[in-house]
Amino acid sequence: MPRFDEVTVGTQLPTHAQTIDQGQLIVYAGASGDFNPLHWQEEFAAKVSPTGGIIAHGMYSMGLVSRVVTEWAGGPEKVKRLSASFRAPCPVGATLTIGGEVVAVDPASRTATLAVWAELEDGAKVVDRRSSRAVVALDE
Amino acid sequence: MNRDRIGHVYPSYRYEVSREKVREYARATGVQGPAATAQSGPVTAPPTFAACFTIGGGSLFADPELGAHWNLVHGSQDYEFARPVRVGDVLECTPRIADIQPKGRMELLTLQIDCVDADSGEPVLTSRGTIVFFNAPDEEA
Repeated sequence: MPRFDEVTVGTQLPTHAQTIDQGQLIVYAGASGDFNPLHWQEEFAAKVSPTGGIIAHGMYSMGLVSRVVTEWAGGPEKVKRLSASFRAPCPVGATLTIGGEVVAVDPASRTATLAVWAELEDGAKVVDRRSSRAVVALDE
Repeated sequence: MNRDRIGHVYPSYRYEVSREKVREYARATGVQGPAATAQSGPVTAPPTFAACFTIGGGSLFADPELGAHWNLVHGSQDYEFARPVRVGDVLECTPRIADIQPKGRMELLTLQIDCVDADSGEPVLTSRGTIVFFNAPDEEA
């Protein structure tokens, strides 16, 4: 994990790419308790989905962002705040790329604020970097 | 929806953080480390484990005065931690309608849930979720 003095505005987190499949969403539904059929039933999704098909839970993409931030920061206790703005839908079969970049550092609290994102290959913003943030505490 | 419900506080509910639920959530989101594997000892939950007790909007849909409906998407989510969530915590969670704003043919509802340690009363986290409601069913052609 990085120390506070190793981090500057512009520091990039390692990115993580993941292709979303139906099995992951079913496992996530069970783990989180979010059983909205939009995320697993084709007939229902055809009626209500913005894509006409099954899409991932917004909170699943936020969960993947949380994991990338937590791994970089050195553990879940380092994460003081995490926000996600859900913009574009993520269809089954799409590949999400998760990333983050330091946009501010605060020496007084030894925290870094990151812009975080989850984007599709065509650039669609599933978690929108313009308004999604993490605040992490860093060691000296 | 009924904007008179802004500020309304729903009854609190309790959530007990169990080792097995944290493990299940960690594995579902690809998290490695103690949250996914530890058989004993202290475990800190992944930050977004909070989804297990803050997402779902049960309070909203049980409120006959609000007028919530299922033509919706999750617009945004914000978790602010006073301390991490740990296995063994018992959290007392109090939902409140922070805002309802019209936006074109949509309405944006912000639900804030304050979660405190049920034993000590100390703050643990605040969840703010914005739900985007599209035009209500009775307004559709």
